[in-house]
Amino acid sequence: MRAAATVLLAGAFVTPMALMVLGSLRSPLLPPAAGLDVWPDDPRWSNYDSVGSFLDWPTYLLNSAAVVSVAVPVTVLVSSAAGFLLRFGSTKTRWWVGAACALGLLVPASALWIPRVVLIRSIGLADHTLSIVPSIVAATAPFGVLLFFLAYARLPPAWFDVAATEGLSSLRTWWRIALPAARGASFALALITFVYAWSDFIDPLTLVSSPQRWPLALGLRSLADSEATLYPIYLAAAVLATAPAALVFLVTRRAIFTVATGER
Amino acid sequence: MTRPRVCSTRMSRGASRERYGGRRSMTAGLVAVVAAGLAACGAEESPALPEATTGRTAAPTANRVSIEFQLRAEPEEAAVYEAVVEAYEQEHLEVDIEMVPLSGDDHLTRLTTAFASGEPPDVFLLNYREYAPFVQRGAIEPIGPLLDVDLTTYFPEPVAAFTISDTLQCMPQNVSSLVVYYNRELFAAAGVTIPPDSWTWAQFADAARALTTDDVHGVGLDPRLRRLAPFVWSNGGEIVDDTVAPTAMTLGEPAAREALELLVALQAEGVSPSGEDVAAAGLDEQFINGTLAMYLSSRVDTPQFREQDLDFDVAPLPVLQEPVSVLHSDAYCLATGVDTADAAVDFIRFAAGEQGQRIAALGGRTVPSLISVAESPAFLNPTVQPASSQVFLDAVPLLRRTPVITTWSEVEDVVDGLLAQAFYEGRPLDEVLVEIEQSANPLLAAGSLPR
Repeated sequence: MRAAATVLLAGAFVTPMALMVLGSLRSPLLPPAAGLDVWPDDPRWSNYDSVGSFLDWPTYLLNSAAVVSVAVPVTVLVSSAAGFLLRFGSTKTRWWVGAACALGLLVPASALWIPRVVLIRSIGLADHTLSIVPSIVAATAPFGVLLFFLAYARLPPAWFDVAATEGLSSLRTWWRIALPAARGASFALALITFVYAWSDFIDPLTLVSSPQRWPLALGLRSLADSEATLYPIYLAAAVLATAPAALVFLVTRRAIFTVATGER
Repeated sequence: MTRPRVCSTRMSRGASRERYGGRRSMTAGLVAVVAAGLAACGAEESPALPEATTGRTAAPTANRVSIEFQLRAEPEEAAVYEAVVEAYEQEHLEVDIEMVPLSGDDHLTRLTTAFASGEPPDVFLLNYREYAPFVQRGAIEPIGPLLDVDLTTYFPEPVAAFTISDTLQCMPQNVSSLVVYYNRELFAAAGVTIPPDSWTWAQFADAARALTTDDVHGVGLDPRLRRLAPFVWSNGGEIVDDTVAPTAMTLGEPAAREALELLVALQAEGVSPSGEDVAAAGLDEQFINGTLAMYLSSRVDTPQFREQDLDFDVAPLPVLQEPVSVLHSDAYCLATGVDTADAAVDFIRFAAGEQGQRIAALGGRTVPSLISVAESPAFLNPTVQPASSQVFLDAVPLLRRTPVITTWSEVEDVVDGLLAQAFYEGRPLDEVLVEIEQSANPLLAAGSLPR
């Protein structure tokens, strides 16, 4: 029963990806399949070569890598530090941090598009590959702060009493004791932020003008209205865009579960 | 009698195959094919496309001007505009045009935020149904006084659509209309013929029925307002009480309702794909697959049909009482207050002029707004499908347009959703029409006319 449920659940996630891969192997410029065409008669791996003719995906891939390599650690560090303040700060500090988190979580993202664009453009940060990093941090950090707050709340208070007795500053206490002890929260938030940053196209759409500075998600989006006969190329591009994220998950999978469960 | 020279290039198909088959850049492949097309047209028909396409040979560094040009375009369409841009840059080495092609609603989303932040693109393409809010907020610099062009050489219908208070706001680059694409093989197999000049609703409906089999639907009806409006007009009805300053929807009035009832009834007969069919494959895909005999659309679908081994042509819309179609037109708009206005205006003049429109026409996707190009082999090439491209030009004098008010896009969204319920879900038409008035009239009241 449990195995069947696992297979069903896995199938729900894997099937769309499998169809995406199979669709990417269909011959382009031919009429779309009438109905479900599970395995194409003549699999065209060359579609992946052709993606480059429609999309400068290596550049977009590098841009996406640059974004996540900055956005993920910054989000984790900011969230961790704010979560520490929420747990151990003064009453006033805790109030402000809590209010900021609540605001960040409750205000619809779409309501902030224009103010964010105006703000970031006004300080001269627009139209860079990394222009979207502040938006990504703002979108994911409020949740991350609460995540770290809960993680820190589970740590023995005696650790922090000893740290205070030993004369460790708050900054050192956070860096040396709290942050390493909350590795599970760090991994979880890093993964969430990675997925968000990797697939985010709205922020670059509004903040990054030059197509050569776009991340992969926005570049891929420009193929979304392709003619039906070019869907195989679009799907091949989608596979290329999905592969790095899937790879990150596969590589870090063991580490995530190990850290999350505390097993060695 | 001298036979006009014909352009023999099937641009879109060639372009796609260039790109699919090789690793050449999208622009290079497209531009090369466009250049070949222009060459085939003959020098007397088109100004020479500068060295093309092979790359810019000089790179002046002083006084360089950058222009950002944003448009809604899928990749094939973007490649056509990129060819226009490259042709312009070849003649103006001091100008760099950065093209920002976006899909679907992303175009308007980015325009809105860019204007709000004070850094809009210098030039952008807009449909006449969408440009009113931008005029209203003063985001568009009226292009008429800045362009030194003879507007009488353009079709008056798109020019009028982009004219407000006697001033041309944006420069129209196409003048498409709704026509009937039909699969000639399916027609021949069913023994159905289309009358040579025009056809009535009854003939159209009978053809749809005769063409419908277990595997084929006779016609694909798209229940969106801009697709159905011509039928309402053709039956003597109106979609709003006043096209210039609308205050109420009038789809419930007898003539309009009668037209909609005919369409819904035809849908209910099963000669048009159901909502589930359309969800599984769009009407254009079904037409490509040969499972749809007639498909109502504008010129935009021509390239993708040419890429197939489809034997197709176009026919005018059927007539209920009087012949009419609906205007589809996009125009180059100039943002207010841009630093590079002179260069941007010059680019618009080029893109909407003889050479720019000829390149775009070879792409197969646009009906040129410039009469001389529309009537040239660049557009009317009888050796490429559809052979009856003249149908698009014949429809121009019959074109009507939807209102140009600030909330029209929202009105269409609401009405389209409700009409889909009548077509696909079997909801009673009268019930839908009442709800359309209840939902859309407040939007019409909230809208304003751009000044």
